[in-house]
Parts: sequence; C-alpha cells; structure tokens
Amino acid sequence: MSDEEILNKLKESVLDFDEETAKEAAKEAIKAGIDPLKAIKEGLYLGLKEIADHYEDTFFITDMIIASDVFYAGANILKSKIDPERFKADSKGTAVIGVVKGDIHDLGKNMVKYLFEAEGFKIIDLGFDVPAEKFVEEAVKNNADFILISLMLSSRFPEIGKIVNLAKEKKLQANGVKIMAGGGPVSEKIAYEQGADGWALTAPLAVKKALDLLK
Amino acid sequence: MSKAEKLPKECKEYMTPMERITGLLTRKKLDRVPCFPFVSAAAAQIRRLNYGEYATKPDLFLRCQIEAQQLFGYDGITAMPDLCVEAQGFGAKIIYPPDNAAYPDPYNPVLKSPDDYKNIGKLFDWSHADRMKNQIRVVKTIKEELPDLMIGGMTIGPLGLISRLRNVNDLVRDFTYHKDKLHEAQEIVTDIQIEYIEKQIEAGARTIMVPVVLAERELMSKEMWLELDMPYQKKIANFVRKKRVFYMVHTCGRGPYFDLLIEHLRPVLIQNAFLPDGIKTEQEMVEKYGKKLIFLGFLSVSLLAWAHPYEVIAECKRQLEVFGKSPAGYILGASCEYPPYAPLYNAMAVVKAARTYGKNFQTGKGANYEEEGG
Repeated sequence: MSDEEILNKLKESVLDFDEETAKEAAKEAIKAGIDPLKAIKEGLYLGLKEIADHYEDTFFITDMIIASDVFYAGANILKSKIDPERFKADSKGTAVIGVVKGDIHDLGKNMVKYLFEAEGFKIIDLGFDVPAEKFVEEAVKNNADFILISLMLSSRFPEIGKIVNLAKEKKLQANGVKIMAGGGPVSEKIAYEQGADGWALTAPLAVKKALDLLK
Repeated sequence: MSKAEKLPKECKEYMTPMERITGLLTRKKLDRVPCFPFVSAAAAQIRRLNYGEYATKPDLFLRCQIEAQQLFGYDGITAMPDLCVEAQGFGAKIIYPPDNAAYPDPYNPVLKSPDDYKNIGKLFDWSHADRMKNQIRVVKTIKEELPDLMIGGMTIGPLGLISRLRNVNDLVRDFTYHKDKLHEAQEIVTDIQIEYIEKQIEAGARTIMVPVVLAERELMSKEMWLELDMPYQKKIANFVRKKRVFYMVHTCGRGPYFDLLIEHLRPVLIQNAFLPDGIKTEQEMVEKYGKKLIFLGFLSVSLLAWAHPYEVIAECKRQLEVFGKSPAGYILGASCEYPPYAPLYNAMAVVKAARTYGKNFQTGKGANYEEEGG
C-alpha cells in the first residue's frame, strides 16, 4: 500500500467511525515509515475535519464523539512514536478548558477539547464544576494562550465574568491570553458582555475562532 | 421604550387564569393574552430560600409557588424544582448545592455500564421515590388552593431521565453501540413515567409538559431521533391525550425539529428557545407552523435575567405583534425556565405587558391537525 493510500485509509477510518481500521492503519503508517505527525495531520485529522465541516448538516454530536474516539485510537498509536519536543514545537498553543463551577455538563466541552487537540493545541482539561480561580491558576501555571469556558446552564452565566475579572487581576488578557466562552445557552452577546474575547456557536466554529484570534 | 414613556392603560381582567388558558385552547375571545413566564426555581426568592432549601423542602417550595403566582398574576404553574425529581426515585444520589439547581452525583452514576440498562426497572420503587411523591402532593395542593389556576404536570421523558442516571458521554456512545439495551431500558422507564403522569393528572394537572430536547439539530439527526426517542415520546403523548389533558412540549436547543414533533407527537403547544430547524425568521416560523399549534415564548432567559423591566415590556410588545397573530394561538412567556437568579420584577413586567398590550386578545383557532391546519 502506498503512503497516500495509508493516509487515505486513516482519514476514511474516521469518516467510517471504524476504530479497528484506524488502529490498523496507524500501525501500517509506522511500518511504512510515514512521519507519524504527518499521518495524524494528513490522515486522521482530515477525516475529523470533514465531519466538523459538516457539523449539524450531515453529522451531529454523536458522530463527533464517535469520530473523536476513532481519531484518538489511531492518534495514540502514532503519538507514541513522536518525540514530545517535536510535538511541543509543532503545537499551535496551549488552552486551558473546563466547565464552570456549578455545571456538570461536559459533553460540549469534550467536543471542543477533541477538536482543539486534533488541530494541534495542547489542552489542559480541568473537567467540570471548575471554580473560576482554577481556570486562572492553571492558565498562569501552564503559560496558556487560551482559556476556554464551557457552560450549559444559564444560571451560570456570571461565572464567565468572574473568570474574566480574575484574569484581569493577573493581567492575562493584557499579556495576550484570549478568553473564549460557549455552550448551549451562551449567546454572542452574553459572552462579550461578560468580557470574553471570543465566542462560537459550535465546537468546530470555536476552533476557527481560536485560529482567527491567534492571527 | 424609555423609562419616561407612559404605558397605555392596563386591561380590566374578567377571566380567571384557567378560563383564559382553556379559552385559548378552545378558541374563545380573551380579556388579555395568557402569560407564562415559567417561574419555577426563581420562586425561591419570594422567601429568600437558597436553591438547596427550596429543592429539599416541598412545603416551602409549595408556598413559594403559590405566593409567586398570587403576587404576579401569571396564568400557569408548572411546578418542578429541578430536573432530578424522577432520577431520585431510581436511586440517584442527588446533590443540592445552595446556589444552583440540583444535579445527580456525576462521579457515581446509577447506570455504570450498558449491562445495567436491563435492571433499570428494579431500581425504581414508589416507596423511596420521595421527590416524585412530593411533586404529586404539590400539584394536588396548588389545585386545591388555587382552583382557578392552570396547573401543569411534567416528566422529563425517557432519555432525559436516563441521561441523569448514566454519564452523558457514555450515553451518547450507547446511542451507537448499545441501541438494543437502551431500547429495553426506555420501554421500562416510559411505563413508569406514564404512571407518574397519571398520578399528576389525578392530583389535578390539566397540562403535561414534556421536554423533547433531543429532537434538535444541535443534538442528533432526525433519523436518530425517530429511532431512539420518538417511539417512547409518542407513547407518552398518546397517553396524555387519552386522559383528555393538554399535551405540550418544550425544546431549548438550536434547530428543534418542529416538522417531526408535529408529525409524530402532535402537541397542542410548543415552547421553544430557538427557531425551528430550517427556519430563518420568527415570521417564517409563524407562517410555516402557526396553523398547526400554539406557540409559547419567545422571551430569552438572558433578557429576563439582565434587561431592565422597560426593555422586557418593549420586547413583549414586539413579540405580541409577531406571534399574537399566529393562527392557532399564542401564550406570551419565557422560552425556557425563568432564570432562578433573575430578578422577579421582570416576571412582573411580562404580566404587565400582557395586560397592557395583549388586551382583548383575539385568540387563534387552536391547535389544528386537520387538513385546514396544514
């Protein structure tokens, strides 16, 4: 099988939601001497990107979650062969992500996490029910480029402002850290009124917005 | 609208809330448009209770609901302190934070693996379903104390309940990998929820509201909803109709599938937070679906939470102009639960707007699933 065919097999495995084929193709890529990072970017990632590009049109949350599982099944095999330093050098940035205090809905947060990781960001996942202070502490500790705030409960809207204010105290935004907020009921107006730098309607659009903010 | 602007005179009310809503549903002329700001947990503010106290003390919950309605004068109550009432009956450990709605312990879900689905029926027992029993009592007492009010019952639906018994990330994977087991569990849960609905109806509920939040583009494809959720929601809908109680649905995500909900569930009314799938404007929503069913809404939770009462009144006026002419009918209200932390003066503003701009309300023709409703 040619390199091109193996890369295509990786991509198709994600589009077919086929974990076993993803693992098999990842092993074949290593055996064929394909650069593992290239196999992720030009194989698995393209499958996930195609799904993200057709989100809520042809593909839905369930597809995104299952496709992400397939992506990770292949990517974990390939990552084991990549020098961590090279990974670091290739990274698009670091993002701290979590669901705000008082909210345990982490499905949307996980989708954003998967897509950011696939895009090449290093993700620090704080989980759910995360106090505002923790977002800021971890952003400082990890020298993050982004704080990604997720929430599903409208009663938790004020948490966005709380995180923004704490970040201001640490001068994070002044030093280039971008704060993004999103999740079911969070409108663009609410996110910006609470002081966020970015907002997106869906997980795929969040990645696009982050890339725009980096420009 | 500015603060200085003088509002027109309010209407003289001559109908009770019950007469007003049944009048709407049965196509009569009303003294004013019915309104339903969906004040539920926010009523805790009446007695300065925190969420935890409100959710765990049914007698206080009841007093808050009654006092809030008497204070503001809206037309209906759907009394449910949070979305974990039914989960408690299935053995979920419920956490009651003081500053937030109750939720099931996320670290210890009741259904740990797909193999647990088959035993879901054994988890439920009325003898320990305290929160469900309390809800039935709440419905009964409100009915006794406020006989002229439209009291609504509720169930969160089969998959809604299962999402509180199982980690949601795992549940989403089960949608693909363990459909059969999930169907088995839904069969069992649906029957228990129907029993719960029946008890609420016996206690005095005149409407049953069911969230159908999976029938949304934001969450799943149409095909998946038809396969996984629709058959059980339909069973509930048919039961409610047979009991001659008004069946209503609630959606709060992007792109609700109005076409499927209308085709399969035939609700008399729909409350939605976002425009239906494939619809771009409010006007288009009225034109396409307004003949079929009554709309409830469309006030956003952020407006109710943060806007000035004058802004709320102005938005109510605007919405009355758009939805008030909807052929089947319209109830002015919130698009989702009134935010628990939102100031209650905005609930008062909604009622004031109904009395001011919705007077002598010419109701529509009622929900219509016959040919002329198409």
